[in-house]
Amino acid sequence: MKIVVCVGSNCTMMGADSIIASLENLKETILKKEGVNPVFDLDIEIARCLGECKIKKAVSPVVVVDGVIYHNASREEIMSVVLDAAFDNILTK
Amino acid sequence: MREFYNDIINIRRMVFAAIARIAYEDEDLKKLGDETYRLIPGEKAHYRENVFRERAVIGERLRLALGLDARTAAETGPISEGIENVDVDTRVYTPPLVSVIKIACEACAEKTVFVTNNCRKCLAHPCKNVCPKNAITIEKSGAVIDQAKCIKCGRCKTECPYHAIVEYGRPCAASCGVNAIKSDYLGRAEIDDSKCVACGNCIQECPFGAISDKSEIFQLIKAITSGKEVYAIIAPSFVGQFGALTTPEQVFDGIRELGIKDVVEVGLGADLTTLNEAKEFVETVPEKDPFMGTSCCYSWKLMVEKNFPEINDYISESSTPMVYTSHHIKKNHPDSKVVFIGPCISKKLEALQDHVKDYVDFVITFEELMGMFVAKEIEPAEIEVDGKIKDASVTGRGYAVGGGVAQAVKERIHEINPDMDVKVECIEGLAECVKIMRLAKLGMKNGLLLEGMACKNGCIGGPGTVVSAARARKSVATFSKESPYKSPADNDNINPEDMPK
Ligand code: SF4
Ligand code: FES
Repeated sequence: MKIVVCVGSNCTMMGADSIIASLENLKETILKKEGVNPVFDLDIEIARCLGECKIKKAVSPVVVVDGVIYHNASREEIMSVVLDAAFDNILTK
Repeated sequence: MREFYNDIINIRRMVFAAIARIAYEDEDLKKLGDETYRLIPGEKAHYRENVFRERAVIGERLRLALGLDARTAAETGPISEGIENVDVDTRVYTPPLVSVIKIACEACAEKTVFVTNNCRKCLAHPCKNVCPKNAITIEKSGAVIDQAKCIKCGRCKTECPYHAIVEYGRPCAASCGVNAIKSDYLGRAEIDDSKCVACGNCIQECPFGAISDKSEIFQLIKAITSGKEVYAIIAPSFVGQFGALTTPEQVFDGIRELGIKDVVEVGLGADLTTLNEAKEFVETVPEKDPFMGTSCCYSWKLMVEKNFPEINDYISESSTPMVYTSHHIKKNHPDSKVVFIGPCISKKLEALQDHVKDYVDFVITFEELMGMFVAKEIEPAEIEVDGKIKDASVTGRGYAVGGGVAQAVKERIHEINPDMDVKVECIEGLAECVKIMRLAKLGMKNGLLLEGMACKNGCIGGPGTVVSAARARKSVATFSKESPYKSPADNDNINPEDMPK
């Protein structure tokens, strides 16, 4: 799973940093536990302003999860998307 | 920064960005009311019980960001009331700096011991048996504490096998190291200005976002747009604050794009503080003074001044990095205006002091600067830069992190006198500072160099920061190593005549 967290001015102001911190924390904690799908891999990237905030007001922070854009992303929302995928073993079954 | 208080932090920052935009676009302040609708659109509440209160609170925040006083519900009139007084291009705000937004305060109880619905109404009821005031009765619903009798000793809480009894207080008051928070007649928080040292802890800790300081961004931007020559001096903790991909050099260029003439690291002044404090320590401790306290954190300094007058003289006489750096600028550019940009709000108060006010014209925080970037749609991370910043030494840059000041002074003392063994103690957090000073007063810290920081983690933990202290710590360390000057004495930006003799 590839997550791109925008760290442009708007998104940084609205808490991008704390989203990155919680994703990194997941990697160190829950994602190291048993039961995680062995093919699951979390790749966290940071990017300059993705341009979303210039098209529409009040959309920050912006996070892109495997190509899907999340506006006003919250850390709980993104973390749960990650965990849902990480613990989904249907694919490998 | 209180990491998991996102909504509160975001509201505060949106207000800064809004005021910055209004200032840059020269919008009529009389229309400030419209901004509350722009910030809180629609009719569904997101933060509080209804959208009207949300707008009212954000309205008060907008006013505070303009430098006006917080109002109570009784005083709340038109949002633009008194606005002409702040529509200027010089500093206007007057103390108090930190105040409670009364219409946002939920009047949380002062210290309370309370039985939650985890109570199973057990047969043993050790809570009742252990209470020294016989304040607990077992009713139909479970244990009940008679609050009038309760002395908050917490014994019942310790005994309950179901952890059904909790003890809680006001987050604001609990966070205040100098006991400056009392109650008003409606049970809301009230700050005793004679005790407050403007550390900003309660601003960060109130879970309802009911405490705020005042801002000077509006007047700063007016100074810039009216054509004044404004120089920025930026505190050592700035590294890593403005986007994870933004380099320190890009931050400087971003600031120039805001209309500011030039930027200098406050680390330059920190080098002077180091040189002076080291010299002072060698000359005074222990012969003249039993110990020496550092002088750069203004809340710490103010706390000692207000609470420990008898040992106040043992705080270093050297000026703060902000003051030295502003002198440096005004010497070279006497007609310019200086804005200090930092993680700290108490610097706003320091800048009002008689010996500082002519040198530091404005003080803003990193959050407020971030608001200015957003208002001007500046993306520092996209600016092409060349060259490196070279204003400060390795240890001057290290001032940003708790322990950094003492480290710098210690290393410098070692340069002056390699045989001198300096013992240092670094104290983080205002409450902790008070504790240590009590001991110092009793003579238990003699011979020491005491570094006092009102914020945990030092400046990177300040109330005006944008990113968490853990991340900032790494960025500061990297940037510090990049300095070409190993010792503050090597810093050739400092005018030779300013070097301590
Ligand atoms: S924590 Fe906030 S809401 Fe509660 S009493 Fe203090 S200021 Fe008021
Ligand atoms: S700053 Fe994130 S989309 Fe522009």
